[in-house]
Amino acid sequence: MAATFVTLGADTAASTGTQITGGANTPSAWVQFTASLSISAKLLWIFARIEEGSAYIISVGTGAAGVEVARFRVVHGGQGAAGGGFTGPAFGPIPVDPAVFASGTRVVVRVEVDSVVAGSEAIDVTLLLCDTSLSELTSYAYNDYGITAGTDSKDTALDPGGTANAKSGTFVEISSSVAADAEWILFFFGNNANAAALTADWLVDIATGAAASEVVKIANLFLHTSTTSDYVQPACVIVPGDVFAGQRVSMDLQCTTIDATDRVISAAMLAISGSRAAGGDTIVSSIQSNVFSRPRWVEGGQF
Amino acid sequence: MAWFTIFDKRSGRAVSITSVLPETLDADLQVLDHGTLRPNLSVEMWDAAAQAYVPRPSKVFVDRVDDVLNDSRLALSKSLLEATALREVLAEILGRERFRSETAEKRI
Repeated sequence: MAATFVTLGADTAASTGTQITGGANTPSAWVQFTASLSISAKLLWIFARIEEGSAYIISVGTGAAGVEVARFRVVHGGQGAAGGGFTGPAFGPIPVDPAVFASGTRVVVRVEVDSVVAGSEAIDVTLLLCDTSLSELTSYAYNDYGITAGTDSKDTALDPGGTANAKSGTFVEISSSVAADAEWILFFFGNNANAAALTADWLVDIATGAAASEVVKIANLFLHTSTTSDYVQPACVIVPGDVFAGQRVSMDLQCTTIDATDRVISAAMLAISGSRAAGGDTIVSSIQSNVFSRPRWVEGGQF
Repeated sequence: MAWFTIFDKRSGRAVSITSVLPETLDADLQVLDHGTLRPNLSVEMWDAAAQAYVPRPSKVFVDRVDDVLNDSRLALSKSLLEATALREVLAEILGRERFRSETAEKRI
């Protein structure tokens, strides 16, 4: 069965996530991301748009209102000083128990912030969940798509168009046909070599299917850049590949800015194919998909 | 490899940029054949009215050295404004944040 991806918390009216105001050195109230999860998830990613210089703990929980249970938390130790930058890290893929993140489960998020910088308590969060694990492989083959060596354009440019906060309606092909036995996919994102980017957010749809009849498989992947960092984060997102195996893959997106240069980002992908180890659907843990901000994720427990 | 843009004839909106044409196409859709040259959205963008790609406008950079020197609160003399050393010092301090987008805040 091919993987199904579910995005929670995306705000398509503003090309961002769900804003949560962190409690100052104490957890905020739980914020509901879904009342009823539509899949039984085995992997979960947290995408966060983190402002200013504070440190954050983002907790993910499940359960009914008033009796939520914290399942795990991730931490971002902060970056820069006041006004020193914004980051958009992705934490994951985090293996989760499909019996806990089961279909029908209420999923919630809360945030704690050190509150060093006034006004930086609010962050924007989305969750991506998937009902398939990453497979342990016994052989490896690599195929990349959307990459052009020997030119100034190293990857494939994506243009969200001249209307803010609305998908362009144009799917740009990244691969005409991904390897039929792809098990893992790494999606790469960049700022199209923009040396002075505006602060902006993007929601990216990743689709399969023929031209003019694309079907979105991962909706509203949450990306971010800032005037101070200039680079798009997360730069790499790792997902199970079977849903893209043998398929044409394309992307459409929306952005907060309509600046003709700053709205453009770029993307490419790497497919890893191979033979599944005995047992097949083996969870591969502790994969860290953000090469820049180096977040640390903390195993569950009481917190 | 051949590249195509499929667009909606009624609205002019581009629907898909592809190297593989579908077997069938809605009557409202039309195919633009680019030969082997893939549309490069880094330097060009789709114009729905023209139903063609047009050059992407060049990015306008604003020099934060000028932001500082032209700040009305400073009211710098003409000689100071033209002082090469002052510009060099400001540029050195600003480093990679010297230039900003036209619509970006002056404040870093």
